[in-house]
Amino acid sequence: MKLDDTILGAVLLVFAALVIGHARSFPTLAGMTVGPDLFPTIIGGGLGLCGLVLVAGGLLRRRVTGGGPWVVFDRWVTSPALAGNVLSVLAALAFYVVLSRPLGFHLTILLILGGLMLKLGVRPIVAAAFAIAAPPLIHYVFYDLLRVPLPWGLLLPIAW
Amino acid sequence: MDAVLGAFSLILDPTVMLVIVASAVYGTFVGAIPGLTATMSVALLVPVTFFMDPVPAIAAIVTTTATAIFAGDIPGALLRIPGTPASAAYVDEAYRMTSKGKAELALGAGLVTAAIGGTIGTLILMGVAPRLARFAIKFSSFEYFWLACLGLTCAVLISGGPVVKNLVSLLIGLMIATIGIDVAVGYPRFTFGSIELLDGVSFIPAMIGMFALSEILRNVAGDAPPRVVQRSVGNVFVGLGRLLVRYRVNIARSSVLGTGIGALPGAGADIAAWIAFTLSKRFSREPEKFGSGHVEGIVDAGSANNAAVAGAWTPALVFGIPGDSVTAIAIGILYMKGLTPGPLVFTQKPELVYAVFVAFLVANIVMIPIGLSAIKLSGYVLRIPGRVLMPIILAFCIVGSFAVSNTVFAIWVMLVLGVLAFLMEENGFPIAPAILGIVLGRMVEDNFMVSIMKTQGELAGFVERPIAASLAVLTLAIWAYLAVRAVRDAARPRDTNPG
Repeated sequence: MKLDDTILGAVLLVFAALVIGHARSFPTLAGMTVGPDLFPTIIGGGLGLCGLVLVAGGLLRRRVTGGGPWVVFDRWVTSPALAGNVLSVLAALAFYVVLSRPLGFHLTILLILGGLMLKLGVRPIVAAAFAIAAPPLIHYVFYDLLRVPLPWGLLLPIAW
Repeated sequence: MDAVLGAFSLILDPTVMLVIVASAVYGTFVGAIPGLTATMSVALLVPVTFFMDPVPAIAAIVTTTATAIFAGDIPGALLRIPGTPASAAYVDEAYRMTSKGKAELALGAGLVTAAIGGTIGTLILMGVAPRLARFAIKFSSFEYFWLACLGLTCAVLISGGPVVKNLVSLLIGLMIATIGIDVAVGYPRFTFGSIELLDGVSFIPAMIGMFALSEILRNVAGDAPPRVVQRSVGNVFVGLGRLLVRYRVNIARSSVLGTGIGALPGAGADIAAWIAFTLSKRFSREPEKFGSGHVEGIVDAGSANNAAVAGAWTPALVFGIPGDSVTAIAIGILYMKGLTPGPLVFTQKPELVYAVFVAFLVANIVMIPIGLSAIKLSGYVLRIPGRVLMPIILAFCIVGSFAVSNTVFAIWVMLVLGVLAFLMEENGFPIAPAILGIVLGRMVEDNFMVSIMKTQGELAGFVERPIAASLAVLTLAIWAYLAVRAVRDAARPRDTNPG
């Protein structure tokens, strides 16, 4: 999804205004000329300036070239299959955040791997093989070797 | 001298050697897979290095990068898809050699010049870094403030896109760095009540998100490229000796050039390769052969990109200012291990600095047999489809983000920054300046606050010391140039070459 520079600049301007507005609420210490608001304000100012340049440049270019689309949608936006791919990766992450504790690491990753591979068009037998084999391997490396407390969840009674 | 011997014994320790060999295999594998960059391989490695001692951790990073940059040549030559952006400059040339039946020579030249370039880069690093460190020991917070500013400025100067977009990327990184408790009065900024954000945006999930998750998204968002893997590759060493003798000047020139470019913050192996390739053509005695499957450009760019990998460590070790995104990650790791990169490391822990050098030398030697096997096995590696790999890499992203703080909050951080990086790249904002912003943001602000307290609010104090003043002049001069370039960019029609 490619946005015209004018739109990108406008978004940056709004963001910069929010940052600077919020930074004004930061406390300062008596007797100090600078405080926690200084850097956010400078950064916000810089972003605002860049926003202005993008808007101006974008409008100028539109005048020269006589317009053009404001937004160009790539194939991953227009093609339902590709859009689904992107969304399913993001959904998989949210799925892990919400369900890894109750379900446990193994089952969550198994479902994520299996689901994603099927979505991406891997043959079911291959997807199943990877989905079943990968979680115990990853678990071994991170839980047993690196001591990361990955959750057991439903598998707690048979934890090894 | 003791430090050098100490470094050798640190690196030649069996465990560390095992780590190096494993990293070389891993780096070669990731580098050889199109779409997976050297930076991504390091980002995914970070959670593992988190649990290692400093020396093996650094050895792992050094080896992974060096081998991944070379391995990017393999799919470049065989499929015309660069394995990493650092191979993009000469992918056409290499593929043309393959179609003329000279895949062996293209790959052999890539492998050997990579090892030579990497070694020359390391030797320069060994010579220059300690001297610079002796000089830098006199630096105070003023000089560090300006150095960090200069580093950020270079990131804007060198990254591919138009100046404004490079700058926006940098500012977004700096903005992310301001999240959390501030250094001056301890006020929680932009945390919106979240306890997890008090310490700031956690570095590892941020890296994994911006480099690995964004890469996964880009992969699943595109149609898979057709892959026709070529037949087995023969002996890559045939005719190589003559080639090395013939192009010895090219190799030396491009290695030195690559080291220098690598040392500039924001410019890494990919830019070094582009510049070396361009110069190769310009200085060549037979420029008309370029574009028809001529090996000269591959020799130049192949040695430059690996030399750049070593060069990037110069500012990283001496000043704590990363030369590219990989060293940005490495600096983050050193901080986590309680080591602050800078001139003091050279006097307090010289063996650690030399360990980096030795690790580079060993990595460049180990690269040859492992690279050779990778070339032989490339047929199999390149046949693994992305749709199988991407979900598995995603699983590693999840565990890697989780591993450092053991909270799922880190996965949200990775998700948000991954999507941000994906959308930024879609719209022509490069990612490297943002990473430098995240790493250097705190350093700039800390040194500014310390300095302003020393001068009691007087800005003039920032340019009273001679070195600080020179750095300030240099920084401001580059900004003036950037302003001119930004105006020129704005006046020019859209979509010129972002390379």
